[in-house]
Amino acid sequence: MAAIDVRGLTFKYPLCEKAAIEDISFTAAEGETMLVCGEGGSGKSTLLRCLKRELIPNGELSGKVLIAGKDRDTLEPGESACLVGFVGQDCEQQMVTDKVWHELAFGPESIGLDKNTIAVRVAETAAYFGIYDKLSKPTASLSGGEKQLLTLASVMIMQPRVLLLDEPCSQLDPLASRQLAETVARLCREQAVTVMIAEHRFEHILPFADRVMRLEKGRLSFCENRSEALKRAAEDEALLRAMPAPVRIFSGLSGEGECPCDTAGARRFVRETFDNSVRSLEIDEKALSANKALELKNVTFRYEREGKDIIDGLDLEVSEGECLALLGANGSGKSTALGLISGALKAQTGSIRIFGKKLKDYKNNSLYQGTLSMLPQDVTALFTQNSVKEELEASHITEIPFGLEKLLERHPYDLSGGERQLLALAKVLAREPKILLLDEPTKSLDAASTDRLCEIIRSLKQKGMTVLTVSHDTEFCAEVSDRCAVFFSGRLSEPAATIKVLGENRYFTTASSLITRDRYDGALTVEDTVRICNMNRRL
Amino acid sequence: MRRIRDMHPLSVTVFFVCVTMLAMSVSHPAVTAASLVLSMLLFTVLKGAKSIRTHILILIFFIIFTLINPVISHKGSTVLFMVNDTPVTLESLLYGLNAAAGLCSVFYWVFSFSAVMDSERMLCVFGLISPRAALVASCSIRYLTLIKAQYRRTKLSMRAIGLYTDGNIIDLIRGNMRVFSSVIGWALENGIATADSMAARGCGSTKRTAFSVKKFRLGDGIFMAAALMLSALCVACSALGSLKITFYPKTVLAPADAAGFIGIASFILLAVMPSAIETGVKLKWRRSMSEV
Repeated sequence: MAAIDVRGLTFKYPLCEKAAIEDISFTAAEGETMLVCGEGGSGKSTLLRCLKRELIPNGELSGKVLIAGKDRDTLEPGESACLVGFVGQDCEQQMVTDKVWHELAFGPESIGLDKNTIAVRVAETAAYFGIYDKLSKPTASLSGGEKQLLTLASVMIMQPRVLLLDEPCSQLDPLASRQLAETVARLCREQAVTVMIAEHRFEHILPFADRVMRLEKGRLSFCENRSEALKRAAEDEALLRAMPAPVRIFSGLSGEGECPCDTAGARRFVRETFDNSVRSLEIDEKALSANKALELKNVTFRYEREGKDIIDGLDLEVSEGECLALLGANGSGKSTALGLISGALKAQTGSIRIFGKKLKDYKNNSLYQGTLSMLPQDVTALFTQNSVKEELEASHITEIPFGLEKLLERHPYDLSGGERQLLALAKVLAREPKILLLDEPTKSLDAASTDRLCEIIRSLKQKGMTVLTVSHDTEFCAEVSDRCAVFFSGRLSEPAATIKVLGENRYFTTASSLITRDRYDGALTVEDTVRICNMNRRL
Repeated sequence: MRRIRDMHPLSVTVFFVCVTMLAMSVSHPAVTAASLVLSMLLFTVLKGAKSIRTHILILIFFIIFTLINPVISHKGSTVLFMVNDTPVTLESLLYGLNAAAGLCSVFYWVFSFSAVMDSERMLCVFGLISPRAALVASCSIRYLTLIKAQYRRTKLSMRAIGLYTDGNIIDLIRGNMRVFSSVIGWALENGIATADSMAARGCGSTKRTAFSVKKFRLGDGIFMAAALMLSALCVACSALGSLKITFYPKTVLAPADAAGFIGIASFILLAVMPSAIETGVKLKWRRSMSEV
């Protein structure tokens, strides 16, 4: 008996001519992990929601869904809630109560379990997910990764047979998303839960996915086991772009045989297939401008009088026209530093100069008129209007940039992550800044949107824009930044060329760099790797 | 025996409701005086050195409340002195003194209550009355902190692109309006997702259980029963008229009788209970620690 059995599932949103998903049929066995992929708007979320009765959106639905052999529509309410678990994108939105233990107990309370059973379930779930020591804490005090783990735990406490995850990692940093992926993998292995997971970054999920489902414009284009799907991906440009570096390198070099999906496999493939007579690509080193766009000297900042210094004696110089990336762990002060430079926070000591002029001498908002602008991490904070058109008008934008004209009538909250980012960027650039600050700009973007953003940043740089970005996404830093610096204990390391920082570090580095390390120097991106490998082809 | 803050929230709530109601409704000076002294004692025992600021604040209130009555009310037969041809009377001063003592003791009881209760304990009490109410309260607490954080984040984001300034009052209002409308949009969007998550976890499918990590123990029962009995005794004596006082035209206390004595004694016993427990537990711990 299949855990999920879907036959001819079709769903149409009201007022839409085309069905969001059309005639989808597949089965998933117990304990199977299925990766659902497709571009934004291909119907991934709609499909997952249609499998859980409580979450079916308003609209026309047809087709049959069997969960563990039972028709989804004839289940008892409590049974339906238990059988299928659902975890969405934004963990903050999915939490209901103010205390960790209460959040865990929420589901069991709702289906009317007795108090003793609830106590046992809370205890075992908290222990399994490693959050026992946080039980009495307020949910607001958890970090992003812990919040998503709690969301998962409070769904698993219902003991579901099927777990649906809708882009669970999109708001997480790489470390937290890996931890979440590992927990999900453990659930499949140990608890025989059937998992369907929609994601636009596969690197952590692909290694343990049994099958890959590909949706295209609401239709199922294939649902195959992993190795077969990887073969298919070689001909599917959009899907390939979303694949992790090992797969893209293998495919870019038209490798033969089994496609590797982790670093070790890709290293073996490169070593066994290519020489290393050419060790590095020619690098066109660009001299930094002598003019400083930004100078920070001995800056110190803390949020509370009795608190500790988040920024502690920070020195930094950014040259005009360069792109500098700041790396570092969560809570190391990266975003706080941007807050200080943007003038949103006031440093307690030290000096900040922008184009040689002291930050506090930019009176009456003059800093934001043509000098400096910042794209925040949560871009929805910039939206105040009811449509894209009104948003653009509010920022006095007459010439519509970035292909936003197709979206003019949409509500900003209805846009995809990538589209939101473009709209926010348009608003930020409308101030015609010379310095652009970016706070985690690739968070919650799919591969295509990230490429788009890289292109935009490169073209801005060409026009002489100075860019300072904070990011966990080393692939993105490798694409756009000239220099990188690492945050530690409130200070920054000496900024160095990106190729040196990412090429020499073991953890703040890219997958491509790890794959080519020791054989080639300075191949940070998939394109670099493909190029240098091609130069080393055996005759 | 456990400290007050470790007791079951229901007993604690019952005690504070009883004592506060009595402090508000019984105006016999012996009761108000006892209430003021003992509530002050409890607050000091609970908060230690941190209570000083509150004491000063309440003292100022006490003086103001005492003096306000003789200034605005000129009833009573014993004239103390004249101000601008209007009399200031002894009765009206006594009335003010008594009322101020009662009011300030209510402050102390409420402050002590909030010192031993946190949101979780409040929810536990709500949950006993209605699981739904407890859920609503819990959601609200979470939402308030969420919205506050989002307001701060939005303000910072907008400030960093020059959409929020506090240079002058007009900019400040305009900036806050902008932040406000963004936060409202966010909150609505957020609410829908939270509602989905609640439904997905079976909310509304059957009758809710109100789960709580607190356990009702024998000691909690004894404490609550004692509080209820002493309060009932005090209310009975008060109903007999033995705790009555009239201020105008002349201050008259109800004649001292057995009922009056019992009423005052039971109130004092009630009000001294928590301080006695706190101190007892502290001493016990000190002793058992020194034995270790």
